[in-house]
Amino acid sequence: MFGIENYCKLAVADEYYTLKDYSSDNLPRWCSGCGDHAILTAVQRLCRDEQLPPEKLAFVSGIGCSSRFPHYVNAYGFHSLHGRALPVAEGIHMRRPDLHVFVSTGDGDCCSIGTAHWIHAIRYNMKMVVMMHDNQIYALTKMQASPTSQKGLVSNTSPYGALLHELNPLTVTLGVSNVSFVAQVVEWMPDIIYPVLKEAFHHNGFAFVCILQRCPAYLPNLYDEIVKDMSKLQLLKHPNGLKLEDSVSRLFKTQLEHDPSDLNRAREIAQCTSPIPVGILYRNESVPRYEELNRPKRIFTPELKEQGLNHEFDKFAV
Amino acid sequence: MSEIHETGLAPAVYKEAAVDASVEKPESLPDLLSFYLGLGKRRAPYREVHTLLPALLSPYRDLSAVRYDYPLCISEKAEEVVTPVTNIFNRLLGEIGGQTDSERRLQLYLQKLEVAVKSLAESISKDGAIKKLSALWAEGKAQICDRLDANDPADVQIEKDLDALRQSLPEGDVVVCDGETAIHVMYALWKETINRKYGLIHNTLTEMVFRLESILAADAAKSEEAYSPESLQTLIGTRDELDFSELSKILSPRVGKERLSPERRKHIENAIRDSKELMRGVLPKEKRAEPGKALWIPGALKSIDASLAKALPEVREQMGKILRQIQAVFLAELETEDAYKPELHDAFFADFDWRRLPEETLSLCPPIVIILTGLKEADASALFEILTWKMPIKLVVLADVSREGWLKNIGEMAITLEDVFVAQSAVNNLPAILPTIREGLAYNGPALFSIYTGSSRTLSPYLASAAALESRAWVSFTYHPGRGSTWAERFTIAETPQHDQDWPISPFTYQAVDGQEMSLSIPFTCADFWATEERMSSHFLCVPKNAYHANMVMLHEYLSLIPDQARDKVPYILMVDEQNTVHRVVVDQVVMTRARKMRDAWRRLQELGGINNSHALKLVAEEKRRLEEEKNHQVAAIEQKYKEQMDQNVGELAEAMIDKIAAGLLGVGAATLPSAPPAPKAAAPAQPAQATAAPAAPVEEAVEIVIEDPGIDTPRCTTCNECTNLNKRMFAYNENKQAYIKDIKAGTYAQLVQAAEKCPARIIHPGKPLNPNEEGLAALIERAKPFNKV
Repeated sequence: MFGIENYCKLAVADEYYTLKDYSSDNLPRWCSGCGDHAILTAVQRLCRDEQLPPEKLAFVSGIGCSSRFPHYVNAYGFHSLHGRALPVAEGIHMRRPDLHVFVSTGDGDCCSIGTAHWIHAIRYNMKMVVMMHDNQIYALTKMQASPTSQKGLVSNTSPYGALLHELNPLTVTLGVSNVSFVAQVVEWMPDIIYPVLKEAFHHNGFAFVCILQRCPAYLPNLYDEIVKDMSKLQLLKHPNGLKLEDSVSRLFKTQLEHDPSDLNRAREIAQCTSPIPVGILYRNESVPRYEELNRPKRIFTPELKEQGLNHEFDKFAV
Repeated sequence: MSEIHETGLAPAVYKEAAVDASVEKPESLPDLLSFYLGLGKRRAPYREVHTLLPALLSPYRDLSAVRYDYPLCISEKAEEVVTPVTNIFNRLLGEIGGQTDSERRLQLYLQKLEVAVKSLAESISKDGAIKKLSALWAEGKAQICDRLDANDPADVQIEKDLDALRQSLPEGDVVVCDGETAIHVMYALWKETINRKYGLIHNTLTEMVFRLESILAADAAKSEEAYSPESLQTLIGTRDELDFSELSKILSPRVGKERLSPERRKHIENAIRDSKELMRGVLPKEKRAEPGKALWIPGALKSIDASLAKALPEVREQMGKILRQIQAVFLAELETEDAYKPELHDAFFADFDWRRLPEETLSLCPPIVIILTGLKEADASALFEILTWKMPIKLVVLADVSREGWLKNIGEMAITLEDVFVAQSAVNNLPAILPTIREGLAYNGPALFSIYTGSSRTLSPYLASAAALESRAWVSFTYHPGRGSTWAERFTIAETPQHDQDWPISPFTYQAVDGQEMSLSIPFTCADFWATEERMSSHFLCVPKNAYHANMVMLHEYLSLIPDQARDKVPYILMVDEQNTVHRVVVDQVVMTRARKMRDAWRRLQELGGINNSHALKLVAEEKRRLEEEKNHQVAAIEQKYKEQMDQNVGELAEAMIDKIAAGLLGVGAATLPSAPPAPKAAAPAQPAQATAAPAAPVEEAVEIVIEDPGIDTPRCTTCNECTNLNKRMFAYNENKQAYIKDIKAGTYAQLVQAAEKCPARIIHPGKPLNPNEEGLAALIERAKPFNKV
């Protein structure tokens, strides 16, 4: 209008944020070779490229190696209780919808003690990015089997090998009603982590990203074969899916055309463990969000509250 | 454009006015109706609209926060003589690229600088000052860089980069949007036009003058003086052996033979003089005309403060002078060929007139521009007289309709004259219509540019003129007689925003008192525009929420009501105050009547522009009715035909059935009764859902490459610290915190191989060792082998 809409308002920020602005003074205490470093860098790059002011970020975690994440980001952080990262994140998002909420949780934190919160957080579909660091082991407490540990894994709590088949976080997530975004990446390929996190960040709802990673201390050789043989990873590609540069896409010797809007197909692919699917399995931008559904239709002014209370009291008036 | 950090206009939150509990609810409908009819007086709780802005205009209250086509950079030397400063910054931002942190930071500072330059230009313009872009750049840079740290190399680099970018700026004046913008723009474009024309005719005229002077020189060589002893001595030299007096006597019989006739000599002398004058005259002698003068004739470079009517003789004289110069060129052409025949040409030149000039000559003729501000009604006849002269005179009328209402229709009136180029627009739109202005200046005949300058108490000139254009209070159109002979070829209203609508419609969202979000699509009407004008304020009344009534109807809806429906209704528009509160503002009958008339006038103009042409609509309706009738006749005929056929078939079928039933009853031909339809086939079992993943598409076989130079596949680095922990001088992180080999000589080949082995992503390639004397090299090379294959 008035010849102005052709141009835009200048969002002249006070300063241009660099990676340094998202790094806290605490140096990461993760082991050398740990995949958490790659995830941290990818998240910091995302914040830098989106020029998100640090004071508009909130990082929430539970307990575990991965849950040290908030300590290393220069932003609001909440290192919460074991398995309770998601309800804390939901509370933050409800009260401060202006903050971008990121959740770091591990396979033990999310898929064991935090399972109930995880299931309902998917159903609530509140806007946040959830990074599930899956190294198939409780590493902070020095090697106990987690729900995603493979059957037969010898650990401190399973000296004769884990008895049960591992839980598949992808099929669980895709099985919950209101699921809206599910993706999987591997920690040793940052050029996949970054674009997937970017898509997750721009998703209008609960974006669940499963990040397969090695533990250099307790399961250092977990993905050795896959690291050496790229054909064991399967890239999910589609015009509506992940957009990768040719140089990255070419690294994948196995690729599969998959439309992320197809939920049934996503569930089939999620069951496949060899090759391991990498990319966006499912995305639906139109799933309603709890915070939208629950938003009050009108403002509760003191007068309205008083009116309501009086109405209730009148029922008991003699 | 995401690289240059632009976002959409931040939507302001507008809220509906709340009920003022301290005010008693008035009996509003009688109050409102009496105001509408002009009977009632304004009294509390009703308010005036001084500080309010129309709802659609309110997001632009602070123009400094948005980017638009102003200010302009006017530079005679630049490729684009008139360019929005925003475009210059956009170009620079694009050239920077924005791939690295330092580039993106520079882009940010460039955007800050743009805001500073624009704000400086605006502030100095209040004193009538104009500065060069480079000067404003320097001042702006000093403002935005004051917080930079002189000891920080990155900050120092920013300053250096900004200084370097300054070198690539066009050296032009920065002009803001105000009452004099049109003068600056017209001057720049006029100069561009005549320079171009000058370029075209200069060589021709120079050659012609040279040839005419040669004729005169040749004639002079035959004169008595040319054969005098002194002239001969000067010509040959001072040699004593020659007797120049004798030589003069010998040659003197040639004197006076085959001389030019006095008439031809006079023609030639006049032609040389006028041609030279034409060459000089096409270039302006003064650098800039004085803005604010009532009249400005660049050809004569004279400002005349008198009225246009009084100046007519002078304008005519000026044009006569140019015509004489053109005549001189015609004569010169004839004289160089010695083709002037008095019996033929004397009559032609005696009646020499603009109308007799061929298009080719006219296209080379320098135009004269007259800029008129504060034009009086008494000057109207002089203005139209000039336009009928068929001369390349370009009249620029700067109109402020709030003061000179009669100018509103001047453009439409000029269209009715024969072959006058007319362009009407507003000052905010000048950057968009530069090509149209150039066309008008280049047009061979007269032209009228009618520009609304926009002056308002509440709005900046830009917004005032933009609002006038949007609301159709001032319309933008072009009439170009050079494009063809029909309306469709000559006339366009496409420059008017949303020209196919009565008024441009835009979304407007606000929060109602109960918290609900109200999303409306509302037009920006001429009433919205008048609401911003001081002189019209008595026709608007701001109604408090307490006095809202169900019979209040939005103005554009009110216009579509029939008189009976409208009788007890009151029209209103939405306006917003400085606290972003939305108010209903009712308008009176005067505004409504004018709005209706203005809308109808606009619709008529739309018809000329090919939109909703009433003749065409009438014909279409008639044709549609005719086709409908024809179709109905055809359908009726077909139905009749089939009905008859059906009756006949039913009769025959009934007879056949009766025969068959009768035969069945008699036990004959039972087998011929029609059989039951075949039972439907059992549904095919559903295909089981594909349970396994479809076969994966194989990707072409990679060719194995052996790497010889050490390196890291940096984009794939996982930042795991393994290599940097080994040797921080050899390995380092880039700005994406991904590793690269910083200094290959800072460590051993053994460290390089060890790093490759430790790297979880297997992206370190040790290559070949640099130092052939390193200990245990053979074993290291063997260990490096698997990491050197890609």
